[in-house]
Amino acid sequence: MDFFSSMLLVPLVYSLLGAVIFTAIGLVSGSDETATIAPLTLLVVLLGAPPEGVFAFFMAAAVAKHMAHAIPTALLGIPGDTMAMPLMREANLLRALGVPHIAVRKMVSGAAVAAFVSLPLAVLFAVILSPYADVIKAWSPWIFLCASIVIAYFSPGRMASVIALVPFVMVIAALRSFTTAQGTSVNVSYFLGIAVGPLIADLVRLMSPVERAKMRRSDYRTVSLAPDMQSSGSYLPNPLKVLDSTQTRWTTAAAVVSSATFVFSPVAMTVIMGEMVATRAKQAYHRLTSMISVRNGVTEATYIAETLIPLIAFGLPLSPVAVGPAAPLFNAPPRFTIDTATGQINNLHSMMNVWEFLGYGLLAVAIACLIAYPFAIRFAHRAAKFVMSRVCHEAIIAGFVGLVVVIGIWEGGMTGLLVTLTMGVVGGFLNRALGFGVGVQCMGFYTAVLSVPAILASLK
Amino acid sequence: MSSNVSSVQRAEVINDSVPDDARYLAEVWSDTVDTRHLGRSLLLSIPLSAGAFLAASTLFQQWIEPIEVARAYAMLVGLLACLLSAMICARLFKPKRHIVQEISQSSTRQEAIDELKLDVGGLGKLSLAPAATIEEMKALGLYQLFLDAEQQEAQALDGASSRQQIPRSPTQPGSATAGNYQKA
Repeated sequence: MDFFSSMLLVPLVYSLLGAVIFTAIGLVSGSDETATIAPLTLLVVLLGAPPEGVFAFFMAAAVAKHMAHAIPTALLGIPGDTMAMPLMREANLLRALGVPHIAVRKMVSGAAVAAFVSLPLAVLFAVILSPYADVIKAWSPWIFLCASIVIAYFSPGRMASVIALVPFVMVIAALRSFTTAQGTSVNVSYFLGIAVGPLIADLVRLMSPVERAKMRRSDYRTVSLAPDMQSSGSYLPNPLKVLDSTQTRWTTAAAVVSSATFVFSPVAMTVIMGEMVATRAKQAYHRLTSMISVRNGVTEATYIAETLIPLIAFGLPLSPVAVGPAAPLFNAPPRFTIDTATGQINNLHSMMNVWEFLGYGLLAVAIACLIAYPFAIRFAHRAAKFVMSRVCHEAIIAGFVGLVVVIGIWEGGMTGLLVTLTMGVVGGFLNRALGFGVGVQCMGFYTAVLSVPAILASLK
Repeated sequence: MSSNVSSVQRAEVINDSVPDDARYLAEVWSDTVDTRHLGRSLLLSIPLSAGAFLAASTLFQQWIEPIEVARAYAMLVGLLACLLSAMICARLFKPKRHIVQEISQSSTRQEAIDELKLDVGGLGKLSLAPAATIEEMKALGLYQLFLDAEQQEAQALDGASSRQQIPRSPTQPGSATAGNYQKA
């Protein structure tokens, strides 16, 4: 009992909390990962949860979210979150074929298989990479700079995003010296501003008569809900029976590849892995169901690996997921800090060992599967109908704006709010006008914090 | 399940509310809102969330040590206030959506098949699919559909006269739903 309470109870409770909250948030279409997982993880960190509790909460949240996002994606044809966008075509085709429930089942089963495969693999890759940690830390300002440019080039804006990176980084660098002069330290407000930038930009556009005319609609939006299909068979099918043996193999392979390539954009990996499988399936229905299983598996694998590998090996947020949704695991002052001047790291990297990451990670994945998998399979239709017919979009916007305001004031008072607003407007409009994506913008923050001082120093 | 194919009716309307004043409708963050309701929602949520946080922060700093923990609890109160204001708004204003419940897929099924034909791999061959997939398709009533389509396509390719043009699907599922914003 003593062993149980000291070793397992804390991570168990936090896993359950993360899984339940994010199964519910997963139902809300368009609930971006960075805007939801990051602030709630930060809250858990700051409320003083033990390291294993923080870690279990984040892992269960990420895994549950990418299972529950199958519900709006498959049943309503609306992407559940950013990672669901590459799955829209397969989901819509399966819905048109009259088997939306199969789309949900294949997605959550692919997610479950990939999550269990990628977690131990990510730990393994981290152990392999950790001897090079000192070299990578020494070069991190330049690695972040190069990574930002590469990620910018592969964002929808291509060269325009690379150019936009320059003023964007300058704005952040300027804001940081301004906030330092004010005596406040602001971090999360930047990311929150970036994540809800598209919303802030839309709200500002709505105030301009010119733009408002373009946003007008003459009627309500029509949402078509897929029929409620309950196929015969067991109450809760085994994920390994939902996927056929080739699909399990492909999902596993894709999880391995996307765990190893942890520095790439998770959206890009999801697209690429799906296309790889598409060329291998020789029949259209088999191709569709394989692609949707593999792609949703990759959404889990990228999130797990892109968090775990940099966290265990370096303690530095060296991946697109680590700078966005997982940022509070690396940097949440005053509790978790990365001192850019001395290279001193004080976060989960220094508080947990490899075996703890592996054990608590597997526990969190198992709990997330136990909550989100049955929910998605049994209650998808009812849940989707409830959200669409009972929750108005105004309420969701009000909730997100309130969240941004609270975090902004909490972190830096008026200064924090100004930072969030500035990042939201600048980032949101650059995104809309040029395709300067949210992932690039998060990298831009670290370029300003780590690379700019190094560039200035090397010029002296 | 295969009985769906013969059904004629395609959709049933669940909620059929009409906009009371369409002048105020606008698309914000990929969904439709009434700008009056949006304004009121924000007028409720911003002061409520900020006020709850500031009040809790002042109170807790007298009771809880150290100050960081007090502020973290205040943040929790602030976030609960966000949730509360979202729930109040959800009660006050109804969604601006026509929700249509799909019933039959007889026509959309054909559209899906037509679109799959245009993919790089085309419809492919059922004989190359794993046995488990064939079983699954039979249970879902999709086997005959794909078999017919496959045979039709084979005939069209055989007959050099090619009377049977492959129709291009009018809509491209997926394109309509992705918003203007990108994350990559």
